[in-house]
Amino acid sequence: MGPDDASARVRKLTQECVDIVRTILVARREMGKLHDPSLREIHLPRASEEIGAILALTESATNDIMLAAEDMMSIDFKNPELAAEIVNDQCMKIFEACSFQDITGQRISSVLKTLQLVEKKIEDLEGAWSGASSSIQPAAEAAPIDPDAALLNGPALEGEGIQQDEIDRLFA
Amino acid sequence: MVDMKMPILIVDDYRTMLRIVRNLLVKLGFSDIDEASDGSQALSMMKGREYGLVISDWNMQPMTGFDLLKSVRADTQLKATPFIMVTAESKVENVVAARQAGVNNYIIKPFSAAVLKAKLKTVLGEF
Repeated sequence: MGPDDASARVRKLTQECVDIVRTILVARREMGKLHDPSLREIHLPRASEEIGAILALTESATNDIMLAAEDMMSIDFKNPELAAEIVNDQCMKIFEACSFQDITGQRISSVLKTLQLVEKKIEDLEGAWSGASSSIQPAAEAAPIDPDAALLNGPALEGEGIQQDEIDRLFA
Repeated sequence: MVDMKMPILIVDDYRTMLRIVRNLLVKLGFSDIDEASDGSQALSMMKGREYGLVISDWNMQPMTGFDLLKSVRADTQLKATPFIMVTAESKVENVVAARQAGVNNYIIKPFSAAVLKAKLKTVLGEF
């Protein structure tokens, strides 16, 4: 290999190194646009709390349903009228307990939205790394266009929202 | 006295909740109960039948219970219909907005039969 060949190879290697550095810098710049602290600071902790609330509510509902069933199992059927009344009351308690399905459904929807947000971030990161990221915009909280949309928050977590008795005072 | 045979419209996008509210109302003595799965269906039903009471969820698509409430209060034929919101939305802003829009009472989910009965008495009178 002559000096000209060696020099050409060095130039080629240098160019490749420059290209690699350029790619890394571009990807880094694009990934910077994706930085969204709200995901880690708000959405993921909220999703975690929602799952905790789902577990607590399903446990509570299961307990209420089992208690109602146990009460019915211990009915003395020698007094049919009283037995019918107890069965009726306990069935109502089971119905009340079943409302957990609505609340947990809304909480799961909230967790799903966070998962979709994470999925979108991963897709954008893949795009940034592969260079197909020209359309990526800096992360930003989408402002609700409809002012009433700000009132759609779903079930409150422990310590959030107001209680029924406070609402009753507002309507008194 | 409350007419226990008056038609009541319950509005919720969860079938389980419709069943729960229906059963609680039946237990309380009401018998004529219709169901809708969102605000627009409810509004359409209200234009075809005079209801003595509407019990509606808030968070539904495409038309929310809040939009239904505002539409009912803006309609000269429907505006006097008693309206109870039954929802998991428990922020003060929600309660205030619903009150300003003309809701008659507001129940937080999950709720008991006793709470529903108490609110019905507040809105409709003793039964």
